[in-house]
Amino acid sequence: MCRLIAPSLMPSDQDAATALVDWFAAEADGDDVGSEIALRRALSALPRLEPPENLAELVVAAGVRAGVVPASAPSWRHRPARVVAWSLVALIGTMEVGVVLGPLFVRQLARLLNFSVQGFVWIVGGLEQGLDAWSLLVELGRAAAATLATPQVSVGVVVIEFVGVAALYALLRVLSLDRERKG
Amino acid sequence: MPQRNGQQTANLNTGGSRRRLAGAVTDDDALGEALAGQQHAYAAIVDRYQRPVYRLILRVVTEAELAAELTQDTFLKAFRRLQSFDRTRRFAPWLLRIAYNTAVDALRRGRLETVAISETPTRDRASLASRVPGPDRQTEQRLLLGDLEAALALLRPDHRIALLMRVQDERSYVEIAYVMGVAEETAKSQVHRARRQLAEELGRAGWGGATAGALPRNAYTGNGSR
Repeated sequence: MCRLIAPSLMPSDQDAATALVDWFAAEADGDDVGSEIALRRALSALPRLEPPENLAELVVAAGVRAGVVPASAPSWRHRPARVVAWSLVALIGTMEVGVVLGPLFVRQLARLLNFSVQGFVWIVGGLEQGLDAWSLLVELGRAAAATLATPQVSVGVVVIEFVGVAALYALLRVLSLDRERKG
Repeated sequence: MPQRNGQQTANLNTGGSRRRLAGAVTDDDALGEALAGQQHAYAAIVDRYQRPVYRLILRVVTEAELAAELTQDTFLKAFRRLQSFDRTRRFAPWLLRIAYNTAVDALRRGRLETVAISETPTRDRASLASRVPGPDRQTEQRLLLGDLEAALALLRPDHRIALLMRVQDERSYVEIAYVMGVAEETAKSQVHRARRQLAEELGRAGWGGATAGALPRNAYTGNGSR
């Protein structure tokens, strides 16, 4: 269970005898500093016992049982399941959003296309009648604002933003889990 | 009580966060992470200090398996008291003091047959063989190391511990006094008495000293002869 580490023999053993001679001389001279240095050299030749290799694990396990050391974070066996769960949530959420808002987006897209075509026609007609560019832009702006400022479009924009925030949060959680594993 | 010092290093063979934590950050950072509930920080603290704690306890109880068991107890006690530890102070002496008290308590509870911390052992001094010329230099060297260990075992335990903390661990008298719960002057006195007694024991075994046939200074110079 405990490991004996023996220093290499020849150089340190030669030092042990020489160190002992030096130590006796330093003791006789009352040289405290020299005595400690020499005795340290002599003692360095003695084998030193090492603690058991798995001592840290044993202590932590005992500490967890005693409630002194906190239990570990979820193991890595749970991580793939968490990633899959988050992915399913994101997928289901996206599908639901698509089902609910899909027709709405299609209608709005059709309106946008229609508006664009009518806008081009109107611009060409206005230019033929001699309207200046600023007047054309003002009219275009009024028409665009009237189209976008509808409850359906506003709700759609809010929902899209909410979905984006949720997706960003999920991504950050996954990254933090990955950082904990590595760190 | 010694003041806080800077970064400490450790030679570890563990992976991941424990290696990074124990090798590169200060004790205060490690303690902070442990108090924040990071389990790997506790393991890293054990990795960093298990050797000095184990060796100190082994010097007291002199039994390897009991020393390992008491080392575990020491760390558990330290973790229980971690919240109350003053982080402006150095962690190592505080931990070693717990280790020393744990080992001494084990002696007092009679968990093993040995001398009390302040009693002089009465072992058979024949374990210190008289120095006689050996067949070769290596044998003589082994005899020397054996006598050195035996002479250390004959010291009073508290004197031996103070001496080894001073000489092997290179701790200051202030730290030694704090760990052992004695005054600084007492720690100095213990070290000096241990040195004196050690010299006497080795002298009786014939290894040195002016009155006991001193080894010539040029002995074992590598030419194979004495």
